[in-house]
Parts: sequence; C-alpha cells; structure tokens
Amino acid sequence: MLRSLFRQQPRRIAILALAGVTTSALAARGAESFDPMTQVGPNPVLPEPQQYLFPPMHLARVVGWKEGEVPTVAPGLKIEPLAQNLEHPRSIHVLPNGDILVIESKSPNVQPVRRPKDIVMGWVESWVTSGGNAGDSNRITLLRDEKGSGKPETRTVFLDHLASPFGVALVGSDLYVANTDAIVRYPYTQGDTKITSAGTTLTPLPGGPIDHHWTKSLVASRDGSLLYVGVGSNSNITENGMEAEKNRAAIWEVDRATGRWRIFASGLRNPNGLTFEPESGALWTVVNERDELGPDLVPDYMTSVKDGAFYGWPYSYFGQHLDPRVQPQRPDLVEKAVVPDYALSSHVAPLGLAFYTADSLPQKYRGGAFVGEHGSWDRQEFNGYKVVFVPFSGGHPNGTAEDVVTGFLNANGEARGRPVGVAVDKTGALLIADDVGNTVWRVTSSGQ
Amino acid sequence: MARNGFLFTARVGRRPFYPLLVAFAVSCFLGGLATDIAYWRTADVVWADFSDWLVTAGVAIGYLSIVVALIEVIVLRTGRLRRPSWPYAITMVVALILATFNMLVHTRDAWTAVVPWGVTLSAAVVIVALGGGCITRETYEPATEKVTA
Repeated sequence: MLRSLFRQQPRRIAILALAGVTTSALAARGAESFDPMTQVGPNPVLPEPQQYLFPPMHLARVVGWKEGEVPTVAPGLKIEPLAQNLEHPRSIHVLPNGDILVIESKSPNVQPVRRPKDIVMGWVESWVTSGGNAGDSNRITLLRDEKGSGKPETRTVFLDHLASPFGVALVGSDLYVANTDAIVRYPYTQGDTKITSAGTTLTPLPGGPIDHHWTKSLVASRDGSLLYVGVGSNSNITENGMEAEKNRAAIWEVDRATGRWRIFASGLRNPNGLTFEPESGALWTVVNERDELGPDLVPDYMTSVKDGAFYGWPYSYFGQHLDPRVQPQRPDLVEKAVVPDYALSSHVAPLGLAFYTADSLPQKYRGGAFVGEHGSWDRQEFNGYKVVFVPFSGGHPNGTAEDVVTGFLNANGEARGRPVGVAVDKTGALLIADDVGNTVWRVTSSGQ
Repeated sequence: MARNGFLFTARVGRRPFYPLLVAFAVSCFLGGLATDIAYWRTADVVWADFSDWLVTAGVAIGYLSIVVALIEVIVLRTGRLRRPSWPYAITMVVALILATFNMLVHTRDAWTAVVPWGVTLSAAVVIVALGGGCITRETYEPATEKVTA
C-alpha cells in the first residue's frame, strides 16, 4: 500500500499530502519559495519545524553520463574525466608520490527491517544510489598520472575485498583504511601499486547490524600520532533506539600506537570530509543534518571541531533549537550545544571537503574549501548535486559559497552523476569522486 | 452443481468471510492502541515499532475486508443483505480512513510518530470501530437459504 503510493511521481505524492493534512502540505507548498541561499553562511534562517503524513520527496533517477558529457564548471576552469567505469567511487586520497587512490565503496546493507517504513525507505534509497551496480566495489583503485596530464598511464586494483571502506590515511609506511567496521593498517612502500598483505586491525568501529550512516571518514594528525575518524549516527533521529547510538554521531580520536580511542566531539549526526584547515590547523568536518522536519530544515553544515564539544544531535540543532521527535530530552546537553560555524543549506548532503593549498587553479580559490554536495532527496526542489567553494580567511569562512562544478543533474532532473569526496592532486587540480556516475573528474585551470 | 463447486471457497461454512477480516483488523487496531500507550509511557522504541506493524497490518486487512465484502455481497451474493446496514458500513469506513491517517503518522521517526497524534488516532479508531460493532446487526443470511427460499 505505502509502497505503491511511493511509486507515484513525487509531485503526485505532494498532491496526496495536500489531500491529507492541508496545514502541513500548505506549509510545504509555501516553502518552495524559500531561498536556499538564506541558509548558506554562519547565520542560516531557520523556519519552524514541520511534520508530515508524506514528507516532501523528490528523487533523482540515475541515468549516468553519455559519451562526451561532462559537468559544467565555473569560468576559468575546465573539467575532464580522470577515470571512468569505476564501481561507485566515494572518496579520493592522494599519496605523497602523486598516486591517486580511488575508494570504491557500497553500503554494507545490513540494516534490518524493524518496521514497515524500513521496507519503503530501503527501496527509496536503492533508487537514489543505484547506477553502478557496484558488483566489484569495496576496493581501492590506484591511478598513476606521472606526467600530470590527466590521462593516467597506470590503473591497478590497489586493495580489494574491503568492508565498505571510505577514509584513507598514510603515516610513514603505515597505510590506514577506515572500513565501516574497523580501522585496518597495511604496510605501504612508496611506489607500490598493489597491497597483498591481509592488514592488521587497529581499532574496531561501530558497524552492523544497523549501520545506518556507514561511511567512516579518516585523517591523521599533523604529527602522525593520532587518527580522527567520523562515526555517523545509526538513525535519522533515534528511531532505532538510543542504545543503537552508543559511541556514534561523533568524531573519535584514535591513538595510532595502541588503537586506544576516545570521543573527541559528539552530537555530529553524520560527519565526513575530516581534514585540517591549513592556516589555523583546526580539524574541520562537513555534517549531514536530520531529515523530515521540512524542506528547509535542518541545514547541513561545515564546522571546526572543538575537543570535547557537543553539536546537538539528536536533541537540538544549530545550538538550542529542540527537535520535537526526541524523548526523553536532555536539557543539560542542549544547554552546551555548540552552534556550527557555517551552514551549507538544507539537505545538500555534503560528503567531501578539501582545502586548497596548491596554486594551479585561479587565485581566488587559494586557502578556501571545496565541498562535494551529494544532493537532496527529501525536499521538492533539488538542492546540492554540485561542488561548491567556500572562501576562507584567517582560518575562518569569509564570504558566500559559490558553485564550482554543477550539471550533475540533467534538464529533466535526472542524475547523470552525484559528487561525493573531493581532493587535490599533485598538480593542484581538483579531483571529484562521482559515485553514481562511476567517474573521477579532474578540474584544472582553463588558462593552462 | 458445477456452479456450487466454483463458489465453494467463498462459502466456507456457508457464511461470508469478510466479518472475520474486520475482526482481525479491529484486533490489530486495539493492539496498536495498547503498544502506543506503552511507548508513550516508556519512550522505548520497541513499542513504537510494534504499533507500526499493527496499525499497518490493520489498515491492509481493513481494505482487504472491503474488497472481500463487496465480492461476497454483490458478486457472489453469499451474504445476501436482508437490509443494508448503512450506519455500520459508514462507521467502519470512517474508522478505516482514520486508521490510514494513523498509519502515515506512524511512519514518522521516534516520539512524534506516536505522541500526541499517533496514540490519539489509535484511540479514535478503536472507539469508532467498536461503536460500529455495537450498532451492527446480523445483516446477512446463509446463501443456501436464498436457494431454498
């Protein structure tokens, strides 16, 4: 019954909702005139929360890239595929010798059906993340482009048979891969194109049986003694019970020598793109905020991460805005909830973050941050589906985010690709992992 | 005789089948009310999950009962109506519409799937459905009587 209703076109769902509860549906209609750009920056406009019989949904059917099609780039830039026919590439790590690791990964798919909605949502999610059946995913592909021409002369399977990997960090000759359920260490020698070692588990991470937000972002501290890993929540908003959220919605700090860990910061619903801001040296992350409070709540954000800080999830958002769906509430935690630094707009789904410290792209990009926005599903008007640039100065965002790479959606609102992780290669070009487009894109200066 | 054989499955016990389905649906709604109250008092999501299944199953069986009732009464004439019981039919349809809204409210995540509107609708559905049960009379007679009459 529900399933067949969800099969309708999104606009028909909106009409059904209109026939249902007029109040909330009218609010949804009115909200279509809301300008998402008012939620970009340090002080986002936050409308009142709405709850629905049918939350507004609009899914981008995956059609993939046709031969010769490429995304659109801002003036002064050009874009070409660095590698195609990958299997659901989610993130990118550039090694010291310039070799590019493309982490191809798919969901562990271990979320049990706890209630009828899970059947519907499982189907909805398969719809928006399909494309690239990801048969041979869960591996890392190495690309070597010695000439820096954008045409890699070597492409090998670097590591295979991983468990939904996402983050990679290298310290000396130790290469760490953050699988969904553990950080695993491999011996790496510069120039290796393949690792055959079985690897050693450094620290288990919260994985199944639910593993709702499964991507584990990873970065090493500057001195190499610590690892920081993002562990997303096990639900949208605690609907799987608080016990399932133990040690989740947090960034862990892991001692590299012993594997011992502690919670570095918490209340971060789904933190990804962990990286250090070059000027201040502070740890930054992009965070996916909660769904089903309306098309314009809650804005996703990027923020510096303070040791011991609590950022609100699940009890509140953007400081002390209470979420009505969480009981029992925790006023003691809400009171100290930190307001994130910079909102990126609602449901844009940021999954990648890279600061630009190279110099081959136009001057204005230097020192700022590129953010890969995977794109929305639970609002009528699409939001995200692009890579944006946030200017920084003095270690803080300074200015409005601007579009750098767009065109992941075609004119019919179908997804040719969806950007995820971003990185900068040894020539200073911006690399973008496009999971449903099964491509890694390379953005260079058009003047070159 | 061949016709009787064809209709056999719809004439189990020579009584219409749909009242049994209605009883199943109402039982689910009653159970859903109990688990809603349990969630409201404990905030333990396991009760909300039970409610979700019970309310959804009740709605599915409820619509099935309408389909079966229409087939039995109009097409097969198993339960030939002595006289239409419109108050009963309308009350039950109202209960089912309320239950459909309740099912959608229950798809929300965590607390607001149940409190305040989920548990309120669950109670309303049970009250309306039991009210419908109170005003119903035996509105059918076994089909065989029709044949012999």
